[in-house]
Amino acid sequence: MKGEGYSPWVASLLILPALVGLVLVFFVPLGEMFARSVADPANYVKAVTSAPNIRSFVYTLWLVAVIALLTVVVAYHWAWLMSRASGWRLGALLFLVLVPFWSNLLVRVFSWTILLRDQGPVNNFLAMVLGGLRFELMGNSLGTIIGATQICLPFAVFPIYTSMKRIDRNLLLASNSMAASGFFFFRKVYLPLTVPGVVAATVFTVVLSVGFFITPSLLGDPFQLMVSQVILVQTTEMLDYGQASAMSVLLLLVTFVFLGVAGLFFPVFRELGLEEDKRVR
Amino acid sequence: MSARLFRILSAALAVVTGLYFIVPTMVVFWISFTAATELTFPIRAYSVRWYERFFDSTQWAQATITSVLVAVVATSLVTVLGSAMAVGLARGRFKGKKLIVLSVLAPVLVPPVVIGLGMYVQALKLQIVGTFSVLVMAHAALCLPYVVLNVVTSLRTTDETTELAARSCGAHPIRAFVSATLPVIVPGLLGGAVLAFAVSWEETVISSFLATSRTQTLPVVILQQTSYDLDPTVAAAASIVTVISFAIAILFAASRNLTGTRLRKKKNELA
Repeated sequence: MKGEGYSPWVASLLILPALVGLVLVFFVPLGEMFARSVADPANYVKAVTSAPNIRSFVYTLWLVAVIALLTVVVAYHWAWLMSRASGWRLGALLFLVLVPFWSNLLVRVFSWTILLRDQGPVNNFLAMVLGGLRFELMGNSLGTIIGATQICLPFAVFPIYTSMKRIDRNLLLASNSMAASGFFFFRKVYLPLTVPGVVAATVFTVVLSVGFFITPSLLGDPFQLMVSQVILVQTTEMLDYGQASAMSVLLLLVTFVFLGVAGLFFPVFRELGLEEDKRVR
Repeated sequence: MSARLFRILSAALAVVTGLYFIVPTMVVFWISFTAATELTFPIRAYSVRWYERFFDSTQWAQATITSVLVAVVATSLVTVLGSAMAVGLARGRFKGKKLIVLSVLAPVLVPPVVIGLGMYVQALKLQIVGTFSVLVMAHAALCLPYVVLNVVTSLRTTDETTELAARSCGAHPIRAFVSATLPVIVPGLLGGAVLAFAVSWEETVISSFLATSRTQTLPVVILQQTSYDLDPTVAAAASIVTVISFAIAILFAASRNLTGTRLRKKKNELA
């Protein structure tokens, strides 16, 4: 099938305008930031030796792990419900998960600040049920986790749902007929078949939440900042662009190391049909 | 664990998750109609005074206009450039596609604060912080992946044989493209444009870095107001933002339907 498609000349004419724009608007600024960060090696020394900086990295990784775990578990359950539903039930489940997907992140976080405060509706409800017990639901890690998990969930539900729908019905029937049921069936047959979806869901969740800024700013611990918040403080309050740039480069590095590991499991290019060595049609 | 207990637990979790999904969005609408000056429940009296306040305020009006203008200009720009790029990527034959796709995906993968800082430092250097065009360019870069991916996906549903057939029958290459390939990508292009608009409409962090008081978008003002005080006008603004977000979602669903209808029609024609 060689000789199909546009010549490199036509292809580059189509691709270059957008690519040049992207390089100028996106990559040149990132390069400028990188240049600022390495202009003075002290930036990196400070980034990896100063206690608040290290603490913010450790705290971010810890929070991301908790958020990812919670998100994947809840999303798995919702996707499982969706995979077994049909008709109006499927429609309702789909609608419910699409509401947070399409509504504004900031609006939802703003809404949580009303819902989760000490005298807010959630605490009033809990006090009613638990006989007067009230909790600190925001202004701490819990607030960030509640807000962030809700934001990540839709991105985790769909890849898991897709992997569940790909499972061959006959396989499930066969396992049932061989009396493999309950937890054993789930662990040995169902879960392994949905691993690609779980991996994709984890990747989306981690990439999203590692950069969260609005959620921890409005709902989180004011004394323990995530890396994104530290970067903003260093930029706008300390006007220390070099230090903020070094922290940004390190945050990027963390993201890319994670993506590199995940990329071994998740064939992005094959999914898009852009793999260079095309399979025989 | 017995099957019955499992079913009860599953149903309970489903109810909690369902509420978790929709309550935050619903609550904003509800509380925006409070007559009180504070954002607290229960609501004792209802009014539309905060909407009146929203539409009377020049700051909110200006932010709304800026948001819409930035989204419209960035979307138009990125739909044209991004669709061309997608066609080139899907139909071109050359090496290095992977690298280009990765760089197109980068705006989604890099944390917003990092992008914001980079663009801010660069804009400071060029002395264009707070201009309308720097916002448009930043938004366009963020929207590019969505347009490219959508159009590439829509191109996957067909192959280039139709266009080649048209060419070998003597059609000019441009005519062959317009009559054979363009109709196929229109739904993907519309879907990509709608997603791009949604991304621009939603963007907050990077705009906060780049905007000055004259060029603040709606989310930037909402973020600022939320951190200062909780005037219920913010709730009215948030409701208006959400209504538009849902209108965008409906448009996106419609563009998806268009793809479905077209495919079905094609199938019927072939049969």
